[in-house]
Amino acid sequence: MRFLFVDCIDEFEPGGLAQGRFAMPRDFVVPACLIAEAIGQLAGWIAMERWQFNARPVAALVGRCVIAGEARPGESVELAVEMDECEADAVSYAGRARADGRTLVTVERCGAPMLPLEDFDDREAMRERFAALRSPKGARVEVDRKLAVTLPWSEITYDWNSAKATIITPTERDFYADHFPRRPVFPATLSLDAMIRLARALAEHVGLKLAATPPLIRVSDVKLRTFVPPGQTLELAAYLRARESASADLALSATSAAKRVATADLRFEWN
Amino acid sequence: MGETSSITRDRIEAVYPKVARAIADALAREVEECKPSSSIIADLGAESIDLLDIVFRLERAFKIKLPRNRIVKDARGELSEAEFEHKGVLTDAGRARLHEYLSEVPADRFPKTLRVDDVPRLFTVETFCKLVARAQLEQSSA
Repeated sequence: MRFLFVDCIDEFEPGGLAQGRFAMPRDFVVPACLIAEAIGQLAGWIAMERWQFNARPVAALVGRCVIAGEARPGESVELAVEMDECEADAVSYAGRARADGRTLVTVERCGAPMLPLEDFDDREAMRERFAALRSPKGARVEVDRKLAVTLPWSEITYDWNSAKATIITPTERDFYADHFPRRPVFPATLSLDAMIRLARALAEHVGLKLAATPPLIRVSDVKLRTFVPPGQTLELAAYLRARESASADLALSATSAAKRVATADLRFEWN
Repeated sequence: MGETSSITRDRIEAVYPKVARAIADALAREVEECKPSSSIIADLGAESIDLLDIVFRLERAFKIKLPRNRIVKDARGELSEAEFEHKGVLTDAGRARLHEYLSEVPADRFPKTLRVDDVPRLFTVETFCKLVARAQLEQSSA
């Protein structure tokens, strides 16, 4: 499979901003976290180009992410990113994804350290792909985005206002062909997607009517603390902190071998 | 709190409440735990990604820019890189200069052999107060 979520870059201001697109599969709805991944990958192209493909950002912090909706099968998702900082050692940025005039996802206060690119990718291959993305035809590849979210889940266990589940990150090499060729890392956005799925399950378990009205999802203070390698067991947890008539606040975490891997706060809001 | 040649105690104390708040938020700690002398890593449990988070939060809270390698660069001062460190380890002169710069850090926290990469292990809450105060001073005089 491929884990590339930018098909072309239409507008580009070095070190500053970019606009791009990616095509949704015709038979499958890509989860919103992977639309956020697409925004992050577009920011990554700005940062890598700025530093001559010597370094690349690796996702670490998301101050705020609002998931307002999903793209429809076959839609073209328009991506836009603006860098707040594009330094040699770290970047920060904001971005959004829209489709057919609807805002799907916005991210703000995203931050990532810049790490040596050649620890993760082939420098020339990245240069070539960037050139293709900037070409009039773009660099569309056959992407099986469905595979990206087919994760084995354990049974969810509930205890009062909390829920737990376990996932084991895939070991197939193909899964990591793009993330990353030289250092396979389970994508942090998939960890986040799994945590949000657990939060939804908990919300429904405690009687919140999420299915009737798709809620607005606000995810904040996402912190991805460590790389997750293939075959690692992730223990996911969601805890319902508070519920009001039109919102619920949850704390999310992923741990592995008693070490925190990722943490986030989440709010569901519905009418 | 300690003094530096250019940053007065008043300036450090003025920024401390917001600095402590930003650090507490980044580390999911109570603000009362973030005392000026608290070691960011040893006492408050920060990891490297937390340091980046703290810097971003301080930049937003104070509307300033804080280059990540600022402390080491400033501490080095007019020393050349070779005078300051050798193969990633601080020289005696470099270590002395850093100790002078990080005057808020107790002497017993400075190991005999100190790698440049390990300098953040010395940071306290007050280190970030000084960093912010210095950036504010530079911004106002720019």
